Amino acid sequence: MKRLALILAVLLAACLLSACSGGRPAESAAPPVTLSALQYELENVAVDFNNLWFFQQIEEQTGVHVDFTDVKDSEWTSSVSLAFARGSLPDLILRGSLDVEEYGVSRHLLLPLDEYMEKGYLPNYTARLSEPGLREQLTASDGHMYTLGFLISQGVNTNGHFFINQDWLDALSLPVPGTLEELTEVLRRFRRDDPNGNGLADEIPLEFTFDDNITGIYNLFSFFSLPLNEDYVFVDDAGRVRFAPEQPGFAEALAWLHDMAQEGILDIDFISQGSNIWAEKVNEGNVGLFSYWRLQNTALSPSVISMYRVMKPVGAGGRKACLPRLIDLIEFGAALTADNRNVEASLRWLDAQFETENMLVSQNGALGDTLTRREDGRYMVASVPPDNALYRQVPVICGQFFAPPEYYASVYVPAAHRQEKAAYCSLYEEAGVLEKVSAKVLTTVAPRTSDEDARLSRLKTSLKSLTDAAIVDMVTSGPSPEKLEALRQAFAAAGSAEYCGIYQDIYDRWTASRP
Amino acid sequence: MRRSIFIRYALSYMLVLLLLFAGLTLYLVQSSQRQVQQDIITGQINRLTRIAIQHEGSISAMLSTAEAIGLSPHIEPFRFAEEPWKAYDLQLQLVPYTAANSFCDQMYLFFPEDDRLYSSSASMPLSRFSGMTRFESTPPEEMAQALRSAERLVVFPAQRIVSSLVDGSDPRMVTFILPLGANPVSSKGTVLFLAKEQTYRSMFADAIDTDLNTYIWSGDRVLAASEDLPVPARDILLPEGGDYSRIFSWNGESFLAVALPRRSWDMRYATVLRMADVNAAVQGSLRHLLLMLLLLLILSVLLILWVARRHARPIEALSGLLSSEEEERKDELSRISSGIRRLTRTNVELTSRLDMAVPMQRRDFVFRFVRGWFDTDEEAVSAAENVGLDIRKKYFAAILCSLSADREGPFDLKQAPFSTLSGMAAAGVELVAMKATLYLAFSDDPAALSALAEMIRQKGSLDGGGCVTAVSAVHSRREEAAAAFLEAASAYDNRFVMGDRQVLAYSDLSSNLEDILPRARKITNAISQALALNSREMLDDRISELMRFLKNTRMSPFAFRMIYNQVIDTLTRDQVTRLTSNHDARDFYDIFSLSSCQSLDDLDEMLRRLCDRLMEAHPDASAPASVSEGDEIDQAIRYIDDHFTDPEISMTAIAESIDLSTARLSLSFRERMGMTPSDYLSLLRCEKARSLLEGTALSIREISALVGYYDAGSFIRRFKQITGETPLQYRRAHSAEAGS
Repeated sequence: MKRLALILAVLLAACLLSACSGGRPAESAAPPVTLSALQYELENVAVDFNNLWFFQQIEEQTGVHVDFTDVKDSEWTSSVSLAFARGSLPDLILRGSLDVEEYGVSRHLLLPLDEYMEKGYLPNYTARLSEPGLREQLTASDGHMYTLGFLISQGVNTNGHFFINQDWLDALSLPVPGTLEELTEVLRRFRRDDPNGNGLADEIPLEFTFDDNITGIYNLFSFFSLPLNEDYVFVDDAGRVRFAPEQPGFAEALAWLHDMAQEGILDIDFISQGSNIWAEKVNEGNVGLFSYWRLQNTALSPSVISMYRVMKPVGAGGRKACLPRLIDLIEFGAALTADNRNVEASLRWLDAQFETENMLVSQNGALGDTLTRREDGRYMVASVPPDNALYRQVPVICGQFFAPPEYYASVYVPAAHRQEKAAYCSLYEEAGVLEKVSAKVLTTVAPRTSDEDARLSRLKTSLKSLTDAAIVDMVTSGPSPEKLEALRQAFAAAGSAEYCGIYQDIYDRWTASRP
Repeated sequence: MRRSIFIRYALSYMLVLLLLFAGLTLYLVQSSQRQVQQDIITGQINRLTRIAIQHEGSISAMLSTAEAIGLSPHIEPFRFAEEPWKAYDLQLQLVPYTAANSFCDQMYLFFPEDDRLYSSSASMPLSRFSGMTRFESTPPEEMAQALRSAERLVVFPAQRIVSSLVDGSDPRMVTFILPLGANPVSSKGTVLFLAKEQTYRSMFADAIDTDLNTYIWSGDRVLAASEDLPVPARDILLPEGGDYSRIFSWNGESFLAVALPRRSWDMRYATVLRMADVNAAVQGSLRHLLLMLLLLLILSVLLILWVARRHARPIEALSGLLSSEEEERKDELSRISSGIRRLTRTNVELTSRLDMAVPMQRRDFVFRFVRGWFDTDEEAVSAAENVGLDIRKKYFAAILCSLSADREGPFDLKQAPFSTLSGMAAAGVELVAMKATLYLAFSDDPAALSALAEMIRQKGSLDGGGCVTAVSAVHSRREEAAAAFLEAASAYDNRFVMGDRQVLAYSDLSSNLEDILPRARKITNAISQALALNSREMLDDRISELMRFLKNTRMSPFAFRMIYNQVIDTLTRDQVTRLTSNHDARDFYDIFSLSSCQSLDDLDEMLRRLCDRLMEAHPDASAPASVSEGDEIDQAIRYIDDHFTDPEISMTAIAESIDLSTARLSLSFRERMGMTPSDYLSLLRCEKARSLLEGTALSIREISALVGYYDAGSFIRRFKQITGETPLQYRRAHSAEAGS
């Protein structure tokens, strides 16, 4: 009994000592501060955060130790909810996603970080917020910033780019088409003149999938100045939200597509083939035109890649093409909970990860190993180890990263395939074939209420169904005034006006809140 | 070597216990081995049954899906080239069917019209599917043929599939092809399901703690398997028929195969375990069993030691009682045995000594019986039995027989007496003072008692010296024993007149005493009354009166004996009995000393001594039962003494004088005085009247008034009732005595 009492006394003393050390201000050099963190982890990549070389380096630099609790992607949302429900909050929440409006604005369970930024606690991070459009995305509805963002700006401004078979153009001595009319003629020649020279009429001038903006037929609507995306809305030059399938270009596009299908130019399999079959067909080298993210490091084989060149989208009837625009979306990087008693130490630990070299190492591996520094001072990736071996040293995508476009370009030389994509994006930007205001502002950036979100979700389901059915029908059997009128009525009945109206409200609020 | 009884008990019990435990352990080990092995087989059968039910459920779900698609009015075969838009509708239709089949990774609908496959996300010609999907073991032609012509479930066992349509790097998958709809003949097409072998392995993964192989056979091919053990499927010998398990050897090692009989779709479910694992499980179970038995054994041994201790303790105590110091080195049972032998010897000696003492005891019994010292019949019978006499007879009599010159009676008193006389018990005692032998004889036949007396007389006369024999009257009550002796003694006293030629029977003599006895009885009653009144003066007068009567009567010795017998008998019966609550009769007289009384002076002395002792033992002289009531009775007596001349005195007046109820007064008075207050009052008045009758010339009427009677008639009746004479007779008699 005495021995038990002695053990309990020792344990109690140890607990008291550890409690004292946990609450000690960060300014004290020793012992180091220990923080707890809920850390997001990819579903299929196991990372030992508590023993990761990168975080050991950060601990050495800051004197802050973090105990990580790893949570897989599939369990992330429920684990975060559970932590907030139980009230047993960690000091930090890292990566994944977080409902800032719910936990920060409404329940005050997150610490507002803007005042700390003003006091200079996050110097590395705060310096990069000066680029346009970033603070707006990070500011919650109550005007505070509760989170640190995660941003890898790739300079990507659209999903799909058009690639035309240069070998065939060469074989038929055709220039790269600059208008829809020229393109139509080129496609007909592809179909008719056996550009592959095998004596068979097996060429597929147009190879697409259906309802997306990478390989899908949606991109072809851009030829008719219609940025058709998966949410079917865009903002016109007057700042009005429009429902794309109700615009005149939609019917024109259907008529042209029907002609292409009828002429055997458009592979009618677009209706039901997935991206796997699409890639299989493209890799057969028998396709004239397709759209894709880029050529290198994709599902396409290198031998096929060499046959194609990028093509700017063409406009019909003298109009300019208009593709949906992408913008850099800031993801959730980190947040401090209201239970955090070591705010300064926490911010010190986080901001150390935003230091340029630390940040690039966290993403690409150790300097001198997989990351190198060029003479101009910019960093570049030397090699990418197979089998996700990077995650054994650095957190990669699960770490902290905040690189807006200008800053990122000044410190980092992207890999060749990323440079390729960036070049295509620059080309399209320069050509002015991208919508002015990205629909992502409506669908992702601008805050919306939960009621608006639920209503939009229901309306979108009906409208998408009508849109896709109309595309299938009219591409295969051709549009007619009756069909188009019936479709207009169907859209109206399905709530297209309300759909646009809700998005208009969201957009108006967002624009009003901008400085 | 000495071994204590405790150790003997403990060893014996432990031997029995060990035998029981050995048998029990042997039985349990054998049955446990069988049971554990059977449990493993049963567990695997249950596990396989679960897997089979789950697998068959998945196949049934596929069949249901195929049937539902075949029956759906929204899904009809079409040619893609002619109606491509239907592919879009079909994709939407297939979404819920695909979602419902979680067991399968891929589901494709095949329409044979244009050799095209459709899933919920893609469609393609069969040729493209075959080009994109390479089955490791099944040629594309065989797969195409199955798709085009399957009329029932066709299953291709798990095989590696290389396809960009399937997630993961070249997974192994099981392929199912089913006709659409319920009627294969009119089927719209077929459905192809691809299920990853990993899904099967998840299904098999319930056996997490054992290395085993699990198989699903489709016909003679292994459909899917998890193979932790190296034994190849083709070398596994599965049990057939109704047997569920069999043991086989492979590569020098034993394995246990457990399988279910063939089930639906010709499928079998089997598992293979190392016998070494089975044996390890058996040994583990046995270890637990043996440990439990060992614990039980330890507890049983402790219990046995306790029981042995408990059983040995009384024996040790007995041994301690029976053993002697010389036997300390022997064990308890030997000591008990020798102790019992020693006791037996002692008992024999004691018995022989007791046998020698029987005549003495018999003599003592006769004395005690005649003296009336037995309080109950049972006590007397028990004492008689102890000396070999059965006195449970209706009658008894006392017989006195004179001793011969050599002081021997007709019978040897040391021998069992009269054993030859059937139905009779008798014993004798020598009365040295009387020079006679007293026999007590018991019989159910009164005549036999007289016959015995005659036999004694004759036997005693055989030596020619003559033998005086006297017999009492026949009695039946134990309390009359003393009287019987006195009767015999009285009759014996008549030997001077009657001689020894015949038995002197009391009954023959007593009739001559009728003239004397009433008078003697009256005097005796008067003595009794004097004793009751506790009046010394009155007692002296009555004894003197008796002596005068005996002296003046000039009676024969026999009559004299009869008189004083009568006196003694009355006094002892009336007075002594009244006092028996505090005194035993033996405290007051000895019948044999009384019987030796030879003269009037002896009688006078003896009588006065007896009366003195009775006076001393009178309730007045003894401590009362209740002090308060004793005081009250004394007060009542004083009240009566003071007021007996008052004719108005009554029970109520007496009771009120001492503050008691009349009933309580009567009860307490009787307990104290042996008579009621009324009797005491009458007695007091009578004594006063006697005094006046003797000492005065007052008339009867005057005397009656002086002693408290209203009328002389009542006085005369009461006086005669008490004294046996009328007042006038009394005055005359006493006048005559005074005159003589």
